[in-house]
Amino acid sequence: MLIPVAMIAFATASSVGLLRDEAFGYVHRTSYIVGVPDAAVMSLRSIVPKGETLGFISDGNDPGAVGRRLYGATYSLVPLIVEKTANRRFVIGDFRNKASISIALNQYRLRFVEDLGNGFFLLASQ
Amino acid sequence: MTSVAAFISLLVPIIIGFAFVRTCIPGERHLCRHDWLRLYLGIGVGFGLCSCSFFVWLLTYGAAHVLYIAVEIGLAIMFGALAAYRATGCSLCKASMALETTLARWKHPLLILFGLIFLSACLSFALESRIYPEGQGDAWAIWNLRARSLFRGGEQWRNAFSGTLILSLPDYPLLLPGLVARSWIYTGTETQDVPVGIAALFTFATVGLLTAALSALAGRDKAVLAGIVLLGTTSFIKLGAAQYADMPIAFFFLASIVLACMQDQLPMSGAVLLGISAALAAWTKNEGLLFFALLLIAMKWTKQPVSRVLLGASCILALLAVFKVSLAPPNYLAQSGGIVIIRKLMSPSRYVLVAVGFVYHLIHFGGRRLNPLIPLGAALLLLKHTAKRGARSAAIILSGMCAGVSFVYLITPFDLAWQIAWSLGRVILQLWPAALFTCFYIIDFPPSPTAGLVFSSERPDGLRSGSASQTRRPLKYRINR
Repeated sequence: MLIPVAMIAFATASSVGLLRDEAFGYVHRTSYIVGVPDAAVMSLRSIVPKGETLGFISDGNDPGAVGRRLYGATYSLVPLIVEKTANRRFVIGDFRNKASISIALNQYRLRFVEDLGNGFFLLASQ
Repeated sequence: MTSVAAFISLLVPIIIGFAFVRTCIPGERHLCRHDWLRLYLGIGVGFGLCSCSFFVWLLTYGAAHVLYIAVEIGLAIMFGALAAYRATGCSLCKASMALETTLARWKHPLLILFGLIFLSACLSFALESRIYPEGQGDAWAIWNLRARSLFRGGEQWRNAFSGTLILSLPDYPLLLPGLVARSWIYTGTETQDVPVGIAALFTFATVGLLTAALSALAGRDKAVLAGIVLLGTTSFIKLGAAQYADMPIAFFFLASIVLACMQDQLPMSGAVLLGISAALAAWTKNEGLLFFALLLIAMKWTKQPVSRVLLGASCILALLAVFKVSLAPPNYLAQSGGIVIIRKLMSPSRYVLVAVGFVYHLIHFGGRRLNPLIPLGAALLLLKHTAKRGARSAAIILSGMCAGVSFVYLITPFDLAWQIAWSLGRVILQLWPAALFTCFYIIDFPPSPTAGLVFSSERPDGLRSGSASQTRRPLKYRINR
């Protein structure tokens, strides 16, 4: 009988622990936005022509984090395709640091179009 | 209003699935206790059939459209009528009841505990879904991204398979994205209630299926205990709330293994349903193709006919072939040439890394909580188990899956350590419900002192003993009366 008791004890302890963790996580949750906020997506659609492929540049150094931001932008803007390049008519800039915006504009010969929120900016080629 | 539409969008596939399963595994005119099993099977099968029919709609009419709802309602009416026509008696009710074990003494406490842990799991799932309404990384980077492409894309829905985002795995099949996109046709907006609802239904239908199947094959008390173990696996609940396709594929793995173990008790159409279930695993993720091949090998090995399984799978596999040939870019494994693959296969360090990965993930299985493999392993080591034909097939499939996954890791073009860390835990969880079912199916808990006179229709070699009339009612029942 020890084995079923152990199974029940393990499952009960795990279940209670998970519920406690989730309750803690829920109480201390922070705002969670994936990619570009919905309101900015509407505005972007009025600027960017349908079927356009967008570029993507970032000031991030961690390839994993930059990848997540690229996929987040794609998720928000789909069916528009977002590619990791600066050589497009419209480019999504992902800037954690405001100072990098002007550097990127000069480096890639882009102009600022709109702040999309959540660290994303719509840029266009000059 | 959106919530009502979302509810209806999930209810229609459940009705289709339940009616379809009742067509393949006929029941009584009224509902019997095995209709729980049919319902849980029907949730996954109905979702799978709706996803396939939506893909056929896209191929035929070129875009998501509100008229598609009429197709699903037509399917529900058609399968409902067929199920009513086929309601000629439940073959599962005619089979004998399983041996009563010492767990029977705890029948009521076990049921109460199951209810409490179920409630706790539901609350945890709901809280996790409130914290991450769009799911975890892969949910929005792969599955919901593709669902949005299908729904928003109009006539350009084929852009969803653009090869530019290789990490979003555009060659993966469309069960989950198709299912979410077709539900959004009902709601008219991209409400997050839909992917959350689908994730919840797959998660808890997996628990229900495990419990209902074991209840039919191995006794209610063992079934409830298995359900408690699955609900108590924290990483299982968290994976469900993450909205990944790993949960639907875990459901189809379990459903296929359950149906394979029940073949002796089912009519011939049960094998067709087995084929559909295994093919739906292939329609969910590429791992499903390996599973389907292993199912056929295991059935051949245990001398079971495969023609009806192939018949059931044929339509879905044909759709999968159309998808793979005409839409999907090549899989990432195709990036490497033959020489590179051979060089990787000759590298001992890769074998060591894969083995270490398996050991690490098995030690840390179940999340940061207690590892449910410990009591299960003890049960396998210390308790008696009976060899059964279905369980032998399941063991072949599960070990084959581990071998196949290891092979994929060995030849992957990505960084091996990263890929193991990223995916192996989820692959093990995909197999967990099926492994749990197999273990509880073969483990014999000590029989109850009053159960000595009860007999089961299944002999250790998997063949049925006695006629249906002999096995219909347990002897204990008659003696007690």
